[in-house]
Amino acid sequence: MHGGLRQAAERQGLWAALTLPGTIWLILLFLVPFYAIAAVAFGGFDPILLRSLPRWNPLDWQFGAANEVVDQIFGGSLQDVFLRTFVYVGLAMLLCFAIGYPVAYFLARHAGRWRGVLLVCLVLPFWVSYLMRMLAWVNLLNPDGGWASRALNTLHAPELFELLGLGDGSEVWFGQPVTVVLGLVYGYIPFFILPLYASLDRLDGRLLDAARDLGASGRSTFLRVTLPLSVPGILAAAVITALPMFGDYYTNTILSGSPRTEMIGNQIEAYTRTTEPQRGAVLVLILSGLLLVLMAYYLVLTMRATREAREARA
Amino acid sequence: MSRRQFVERSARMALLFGIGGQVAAACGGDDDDGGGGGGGGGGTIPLARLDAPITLPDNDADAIASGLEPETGTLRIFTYPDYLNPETLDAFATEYGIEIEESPYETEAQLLSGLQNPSFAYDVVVGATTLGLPRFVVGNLIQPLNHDYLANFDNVLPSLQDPYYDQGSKYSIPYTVYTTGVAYRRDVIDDSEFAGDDAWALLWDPARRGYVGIIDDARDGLTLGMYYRGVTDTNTEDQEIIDAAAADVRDLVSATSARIDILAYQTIPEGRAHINQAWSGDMLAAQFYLPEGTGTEVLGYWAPERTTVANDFFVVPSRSERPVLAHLFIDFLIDPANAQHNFEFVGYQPALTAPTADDLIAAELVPEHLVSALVSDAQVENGYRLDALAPDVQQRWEDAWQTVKAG
Repeated sequence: MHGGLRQAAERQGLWAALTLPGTIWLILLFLVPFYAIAAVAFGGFDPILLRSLPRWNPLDWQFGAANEVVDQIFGGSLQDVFLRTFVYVGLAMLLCFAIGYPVAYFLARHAGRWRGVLLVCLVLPFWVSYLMRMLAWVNLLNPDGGWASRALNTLHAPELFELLGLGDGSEVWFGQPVTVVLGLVYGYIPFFILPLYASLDRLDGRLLDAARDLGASGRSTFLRVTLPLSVPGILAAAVITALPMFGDYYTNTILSGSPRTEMIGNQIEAYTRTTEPQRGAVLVLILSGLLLVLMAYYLVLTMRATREAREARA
Repeated sequence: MSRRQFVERSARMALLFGIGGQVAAACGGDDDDGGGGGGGGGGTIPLARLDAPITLPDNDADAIASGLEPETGTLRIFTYPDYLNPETLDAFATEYGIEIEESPYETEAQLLSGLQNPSFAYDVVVGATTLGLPRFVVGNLIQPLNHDYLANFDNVLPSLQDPYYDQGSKYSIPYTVYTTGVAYRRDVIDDSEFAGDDAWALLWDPARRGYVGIIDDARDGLTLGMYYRGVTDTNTEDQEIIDAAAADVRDLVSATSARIDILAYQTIPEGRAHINQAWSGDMLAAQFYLPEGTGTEVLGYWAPERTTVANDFFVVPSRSERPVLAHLFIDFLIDPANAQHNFEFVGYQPALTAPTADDLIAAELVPEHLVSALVSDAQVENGYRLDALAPDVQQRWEDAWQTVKAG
């Protein structure tokens, strides 16, 4: 008995040791840089040499730059940037769900022998750099002969998006909110579909059979069984997709470049490129704080869903 | 700050960072930290103006002695991307039996940051401007030049041999010269629309919606708003003028959905922009970015008789490990033949007497319709300059520009 306990303790120690590389990785490549950003955000600034003067001791931190940025967010020039970012990411997430869920569902439940091929097709975009794919759209949407631009204009898409408040009716697609939203969807939707597919694929088919046996229609089975059971998958997909979208700046830079579509990531980039790294660092912290809230909400929902599933099984 | 403002700010900060206690304690010192623009440094920088030339002060670095042999090894050049002809670099490397390594920077702030980073020891900087020069000197980041190594110095434009921003060319040697104007597609907008001296207003034309671009730079961007109103004090400290210019540029963005970037040399030839605030050098370079089958006749450039004129220059970092070679490199590039060869790739006009504008046209390096993008010595003498500003004024320009960029 005593030897068994020791063996169990040794096993536990071994597993703990195996987490060491990951822990060191996290400390070196996440916590330390994150702390450095905080030291810059709450540090000083040399206006002559235009360089940050990080303050490593939290007791020395100053919040002048942070106050200015916060003031700009609440009623200042950054307010629209924040609202715009949330609207764009929200719309992009809705589209990801509308497009991605049926695809993931089909792959998981109905693709049959084509599943492998379709999964490869889904992963295929990752073989090409994100930047290259976006740059390809620059040519496709070029008002001077881009075929995607021509096709969209022939289909009266500008008028449609103007009605939806996502465009100004112009046949030039660069600089339009809809272009940025669709660019985000295009760039990130594989990240949405893959975890959702994994979740749907693990659904217990017997539960669906039971629902049908109990007289539920196909629609009812989907709405009352499949959809609720796929909520953790949807949340995981949403988190994985939304987090990079919030910090994205190159989609906007490449497909728009107009201040009318400026997002938080663009502001961070603009601050750090020029002479205001402190403000850029503050924005990074604020964005991280907001994403942390979203992440916490996701964890709470996931834990609740897991608990409910466990209770249902019991 | 009123108590009410203090409480509101603290609450917002606590909400955003989730570190209420620390914020509340730290905000008590808010008055001391000088906000985002202050908190460190102090001191001043010498501010040159066209009508108030300055001799930059001595710094801690010494100029190299005369008559030294050039070093061997690798010459490390800190430069804007694609701002040197690789063939010209090869020619220099062959002549001195060395290797050359280019490191790129994209903004003056990045240049300043790179020069301060002790991990890097660049030998020569290409593309510095009057905005950064006094900071480089005060920060001991560059060394005085020894003109004994610059046999071709007499080839520098006469108006820039003793420039107002660096009397005696103590620390800098001019590299290129350019104006700020308006680039346009001649197949879309007729030349006649640019007949007067007030064609800046064409950038505000809502009929060009989706096809307009402006330069992504606080100084150039806001100066556009000033020129639109006929204001020519391009180094103004007047907050009202700065704010009015920002408001005008915001109107431009709103009316035309303008792009803000520094890609006119691509967007105009590709047809993504029909009209763009641009540097003349970018338009001379734009001919290399035309799609196949499109002739250079579609490219047009307009600048009024008096407009923003700038010249980039070479400086030698104080930490340069090959300062002799750096001097010889500068001298190599201000040689007429080498400068013309370099121009063939770069497109920015050398700030030199030779090659002349006629030389460049005769060599078919400048298309007929882009002759307006060449800068004359008279333009250099009379142009409006974007000079270094006092730190607090610079911050106000940046803040105003941020309101434009935020949409």
